[in-house]
Amino acid sequence: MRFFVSILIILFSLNVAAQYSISQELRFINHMVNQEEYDDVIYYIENHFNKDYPLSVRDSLNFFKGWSQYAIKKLEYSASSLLQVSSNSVFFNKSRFFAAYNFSHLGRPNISGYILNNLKTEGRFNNLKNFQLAGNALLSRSLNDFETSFQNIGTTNDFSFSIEKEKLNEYALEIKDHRDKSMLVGGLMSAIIPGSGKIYAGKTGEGIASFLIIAASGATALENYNKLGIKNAKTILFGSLFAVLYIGNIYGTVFTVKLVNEEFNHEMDHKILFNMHIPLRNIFN
Amino acid sequence: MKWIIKYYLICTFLSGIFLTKGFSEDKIFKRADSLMLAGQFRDARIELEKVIFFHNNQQITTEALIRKSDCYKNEQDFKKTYETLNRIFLQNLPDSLLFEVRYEKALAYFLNEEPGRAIFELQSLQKFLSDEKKALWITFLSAISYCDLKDWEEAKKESLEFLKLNVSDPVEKDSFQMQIDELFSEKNIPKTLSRQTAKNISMFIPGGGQFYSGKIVEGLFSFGLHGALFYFGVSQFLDKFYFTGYTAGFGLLQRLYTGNLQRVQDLVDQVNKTRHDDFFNEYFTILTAIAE
Repeated sequence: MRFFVSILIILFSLNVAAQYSISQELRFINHMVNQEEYDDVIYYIENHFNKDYPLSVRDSLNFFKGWSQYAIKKLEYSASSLLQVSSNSVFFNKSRFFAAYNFSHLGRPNISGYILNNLKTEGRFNNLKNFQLAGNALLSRSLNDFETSFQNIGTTNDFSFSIEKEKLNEYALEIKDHRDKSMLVGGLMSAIIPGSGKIYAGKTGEGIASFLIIAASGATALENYNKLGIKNAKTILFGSLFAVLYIGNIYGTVFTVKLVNEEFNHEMDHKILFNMHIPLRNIFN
Repeated sequence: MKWIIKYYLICTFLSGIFLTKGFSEDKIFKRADSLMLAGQFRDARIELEKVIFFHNNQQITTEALIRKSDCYKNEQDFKKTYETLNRIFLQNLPDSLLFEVRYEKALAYFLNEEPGRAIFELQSLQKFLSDEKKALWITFLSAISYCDLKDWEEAKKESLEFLKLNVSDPVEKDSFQMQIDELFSEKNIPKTLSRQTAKNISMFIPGGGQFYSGKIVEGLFSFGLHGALFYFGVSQFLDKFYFTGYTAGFGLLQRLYTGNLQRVQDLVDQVNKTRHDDFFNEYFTILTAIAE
């Protein structure tokens, strides 16, 4: 009996001696995050830790994993990991705010808003929450929701996002004043005067170039038609070329108008997201 | 009670073993080394980073960083290799380790296509040239780095030094020296073509830039195409097809002409690279033959 107990104790002691404690492991993971070895952090957490650890440990692991995924722009996975951090954790607020931001960045401001609305906050975090909600409202182009959230930010001397707050307000006015260009109008204009639809879309240079090319090919086709008749191969060749360019230009104009509209929205989203991001980094870093 | 004390003592004794033997170098790196041997470099790297984090002993952290850089080298991530080596604190390092770190760093720079930095690192190893074995390593890496830098004079000098260190048989030595002299003769050293010259020639004679780059067939084709479009444009003008001449003749000619100017410059880059690669391969073959 004593022999078996002694063997057990020996084995147990060896096992304990050979491993690092969980607090050491967490400190080590934090060190790897600081070293910016994000891929290794994710790999290490996924392959070396099971789900049997206490909640506080799992919270830390989920936070480090989510933070690393966020750093390497795996935003969907990051949001999923960060949302698993429980409210008892010291990382809870940071995790929620960044999970919400990840969803905003992924083009899902409604999910982001849902996460933020369910987050109980006070003081500075409450202002930050309303600021993020205002940003989400702008991303959804919902100006009424923006007004509500923006007013809820309240008067604050918090320099973490005072400039960004002003910027969001400017973007709201810009969105309010902006009117999308019509693809139909652009197409019709280019059908009447080639290139004019592109000028309408704001691409003046492209419009003039299109006009010159189509006018030159049209003049060539007309010249051959006048001198050689409709059945001549040269007339058919240059006439076909003109037709292709003319129709192609109308299609191109419609596409250009669509792109210009998307360009505005894309650029605006980018600016909004950029300004939503700065206070998060200022406050949580 | 007696046996409880006995087992308590056993545990204390075991802890003692752990505290003393556990920190011996072999044991510290045992797991990482076995992972490296198994080709599991990522796990090995993490294990080594752990060693670095939990030990304050400079010798241990240096060893761990060298091993970690070796993992990156095996994974062919040469930038990370030298970044890891750059984390090593070089002061108070014994000469053997200092050589290893600096040499490995130079090698990583070379493999990461940064021969200038490799040379810079190798220059700090001059004091090790008195050791014949180390001198061999240094001169070999210097020789290929200078060649990569297109510094033919230094490359030849280093290769002759490498030959001197490696081969003692005078007949064999003469044979290799002849090969090196031949390779570095005026006619064999790769001439670097100029992008600007190729462009200038093509501006006056379309297709001339291709001739300059040694692409005769492409040059002839380009010249013919330019000529045909020019002829078409002029003939249409003479036949009073002004718009046709302008659009289909000169319009297309202008597009072809501008495109051709860009094409010859890209061609020059391609030719320069091929010439240099061929020269480097031949040079490398001679050096490895010397080493054998």
